[in-house]
Amino acid sequence: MEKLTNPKNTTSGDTIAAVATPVGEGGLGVIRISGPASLVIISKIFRLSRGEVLPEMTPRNVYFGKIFEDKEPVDEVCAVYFRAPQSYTAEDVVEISCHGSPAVMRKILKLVMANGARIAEPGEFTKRAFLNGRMDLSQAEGVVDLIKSVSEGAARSAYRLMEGGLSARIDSIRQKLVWTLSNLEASIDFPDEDFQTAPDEHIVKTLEECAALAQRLIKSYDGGRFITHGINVAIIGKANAGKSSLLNALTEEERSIVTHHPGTTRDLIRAETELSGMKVELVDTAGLNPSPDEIEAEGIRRSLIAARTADVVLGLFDGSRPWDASDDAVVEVLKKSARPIAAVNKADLPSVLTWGEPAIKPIYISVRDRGGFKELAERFFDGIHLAGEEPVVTRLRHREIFERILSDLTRAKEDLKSGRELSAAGVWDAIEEIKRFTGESYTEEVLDAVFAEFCVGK
Amino acid sequence: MTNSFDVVVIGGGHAACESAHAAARLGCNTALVVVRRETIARMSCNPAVGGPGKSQIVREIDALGGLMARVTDKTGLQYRTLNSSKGAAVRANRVQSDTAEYESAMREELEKTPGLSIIEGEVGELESEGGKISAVVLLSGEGLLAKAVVVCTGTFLNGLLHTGMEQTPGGRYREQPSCALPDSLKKLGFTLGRLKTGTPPRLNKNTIDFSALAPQGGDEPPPPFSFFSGEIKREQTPCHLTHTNEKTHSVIRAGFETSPLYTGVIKGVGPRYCPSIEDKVMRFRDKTSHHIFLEPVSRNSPEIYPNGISTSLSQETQEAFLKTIPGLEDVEILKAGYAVEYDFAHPTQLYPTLETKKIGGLFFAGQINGTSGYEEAAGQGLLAGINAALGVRGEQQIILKRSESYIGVLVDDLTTHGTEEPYRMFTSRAEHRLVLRQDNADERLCGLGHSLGLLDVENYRAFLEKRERINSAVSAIRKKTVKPDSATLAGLEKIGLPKIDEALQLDKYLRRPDVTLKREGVAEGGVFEFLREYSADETERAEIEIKYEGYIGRQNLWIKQLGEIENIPLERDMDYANISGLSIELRQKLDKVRPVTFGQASRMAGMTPAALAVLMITLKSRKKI
Repeated sequence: MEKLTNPKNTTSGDTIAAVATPVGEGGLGVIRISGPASLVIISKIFRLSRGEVLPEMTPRNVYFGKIFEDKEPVDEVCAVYFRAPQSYTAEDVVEISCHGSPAVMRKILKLVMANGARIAEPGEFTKRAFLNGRMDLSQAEGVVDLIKSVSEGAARSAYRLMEGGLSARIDSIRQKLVWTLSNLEASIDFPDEDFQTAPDEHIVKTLEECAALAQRLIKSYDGGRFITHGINVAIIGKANAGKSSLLNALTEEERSIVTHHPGTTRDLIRAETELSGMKVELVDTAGLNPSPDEIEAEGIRRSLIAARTADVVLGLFDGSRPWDASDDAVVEVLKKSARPIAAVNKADLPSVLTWGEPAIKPIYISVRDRGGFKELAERFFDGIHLAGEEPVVTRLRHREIFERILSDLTRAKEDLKSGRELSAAGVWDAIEEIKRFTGESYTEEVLDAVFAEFCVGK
Repeated sequence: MTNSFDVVVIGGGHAACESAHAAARLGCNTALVVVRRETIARMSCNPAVGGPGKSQIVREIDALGGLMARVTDKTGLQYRTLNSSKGAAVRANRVQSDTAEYESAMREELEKTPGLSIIEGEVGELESEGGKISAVVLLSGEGLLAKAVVVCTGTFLNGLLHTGMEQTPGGRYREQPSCALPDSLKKLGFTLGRLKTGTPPRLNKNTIDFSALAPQGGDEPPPPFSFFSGEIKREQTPCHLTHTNEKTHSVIRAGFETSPLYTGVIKGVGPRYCPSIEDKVMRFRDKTSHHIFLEPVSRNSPEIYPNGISTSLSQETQEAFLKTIPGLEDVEILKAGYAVEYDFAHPTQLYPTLETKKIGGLFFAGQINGTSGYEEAAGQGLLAGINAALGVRGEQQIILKRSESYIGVLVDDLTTHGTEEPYRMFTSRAEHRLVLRQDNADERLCGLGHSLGLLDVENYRAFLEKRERINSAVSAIRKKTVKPDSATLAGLEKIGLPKIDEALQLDKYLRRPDVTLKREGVAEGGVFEFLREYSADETERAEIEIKYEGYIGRQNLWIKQLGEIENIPLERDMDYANISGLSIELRQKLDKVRPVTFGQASRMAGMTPAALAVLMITLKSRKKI
């Protein structure tokens, strides 16, 4: 048999395996093996279609054949070999595509394990890719996010993270900081040399630029969070303003019961949809009626809670009726929201409403003929970068790192007044944070937290 | 005379002096073997001690009980503090030394050290028995039995001096190289490499016109190096500043054809940060002028050391380019500048105790380990001398940590990474720079110096008393509140400090970047007069302690976090070749470096998170067995 140990194989001793496709029946199932014994294992359980022993596998070629247990064929499969380090994990990897029956996959996995692999922990393939330097930690996080992405927008931002979009941005900060440090350190270590290092003003300017970049990334988290997890919109308004109709129109489903009777909706109705590539959860609420009966009162209590916990509060007003006390109540709720939108419905009917709150500027829509919906959707995502090239922070871990970088740099700037040494200390700290972002410097807890989010097989 | 010693130190330079002194102080019967007694403690290159990174080492030597700081204080021509505005941790003393006085003062220190004999002779061979050093054989045939040997041979191993195309075997100007010892080291299994360094020509003071040159004096009062020197009362001598110009550079360029550097005659690798003048002219083409400090070498010598123009160009070119420089129009060269190539032993062959891995009881210190600089040499010499003595006494040798001293940084860098060019200390090499200050070296190391028996008891007591007073100054500051009354405001304004709007704790005020106590503030009638009972040094230390509290807290936390994995010991005889899961290359590297702690392993080049994980798993599984 050919040489099976690969000297280029860079990592951890053992070989891991797992089913990489979702649990349950499917057309295809994939079993992924990674580690130094991958080739030995496949050579023991796989025969080509006419029964001959597998020759030396050419990387990235597809081999068609059968998996055998002893003399007994188990399934017809395709096997592909990825040679270290040109594989997902940077180790020797073999992938077996078999028929997607849970029983078949279980059987093959058992055979793989009987021949020297152990079952992979969730995220272990990606963890190995990180540990072997195939990707940095933020890129690994991008892989998690991509797998879990709930909408087109979430997938796009996750892909960008995985591709290294955020890494590239932080790398540009790092380069500026290295330049700054080289100037600070040179003037410290060569006080008597006659070369000029950058003056303090120049250093301050660069530190400010880096701080601004960090600040932008921190701010992007507001929107970034929405991109990953979706956005929750509570629709409030007086009875019969058209809240349920709006929910139905936006989701293109008849989720809420719509009648002409005010107060039809008594409990919260939730519905999900995707708007502009974003996951949006809409919550229809009971109308804010100033003199409610007992059931209505409970409905209104729930409406207010929904408004308090929502990312966006959409206050819906009825353009065909005059302003009244219920509208005032809606305005009060809007004022408490971080992201309020005021929309006047029934723009298709003669306008009777006189807008009663100068501090808020409403938009005008018509649920019946879907007028103003485009503008409404835009208002949902106000300030959230959707299609732009600007990288977006979607993870709390990243935001916290950028916040620490910002505070390190602010201190470094202040400390220039008392001497270059303390300023340098702040810059060193910021660079250390960058290393935490990329995973160049890490603790086991961080790695465990990141890779625990994965499913088995990735 | 007996020919059997506990410790034999080979060489007479800065590493050897500290080494022999420390070993003898630790109770070992010690011999210093040097070719000629009068070359002991010679400053082969610039006549100065200290500078950033280096001054911290000198202070550390002092705190441990070594000699360099004390001798420097006694023999200076000019005393300065560099980087005074850049922060306490990078502040650095530098002293221009009277080199002749330095040599004799150091020699006297050694001569009066009990248990230390100085033997004149040249070493031909080292002998070992069963992997342990046993004897040193001189070229004269005389043998010295030794339980431990420290080799501090500087640039003498196969030393070759270059001036233009002219080559002279030599370790230093008109001193013979050692050609037998390198062979002996190779026979013992050591791998040697080749480095290069250089020195400028020495000029006759009486042929220099100083009238047009800017003088540079020392600081008043002279800042002492040693914690135990007290006030320095010596007259200071100025240096003078001059510059090269475009004419100088064109003469230098014309001389390239006889440059051993540019004709490829020199094979050894030189230091990037200390380039020769021909290197500077070559590499920084758009710079039309480089500055030169003219430094006196001794009160009783006409020699001037022109700092900034080390060169190995031919003597004719040296003369020609010097004459283009203001003040040097009629200058006479006393000794031509030269480059020196020499053998060094790759320092990855050493444990961080500076004992060689191959031969028990054999230590290397100084330039033989690829370093440059008197201070770096002395620091290593001290550590090697201490460990040689501890080894002889059958006690646990010491390792200095990166988080407690620059000597620790130096030795860890050398033994972990090795070096490809002469290694010089910089403050930026110390990741714990804010805690490794020259002002607190006593805090960091006097305890160790005392427990080793190296630091004098009186000095240790002086340290304890001073620490007591600093603590009391710190609490006095913490208890003080500054109030915005008219007297205080006037007092602050008088010394240029920002005013306050409301009463606040003095320590809070002091932590502002634009506030310092200032000497005038502490003086009589000053706004901080309550601190007058403390010396300037004590108030400064108290001030630093308060000002840096937050930063130091952060660094200490980091050191503690690191400490958890940093200090996990790795066995010296670990079988790296058989750790599966590590690349062959890394296995070989680990096998060569044999890190003593997990922390040292983590700093090795090419070490990946994955490899560290494998190493950790291996360690854990072995412990279980």
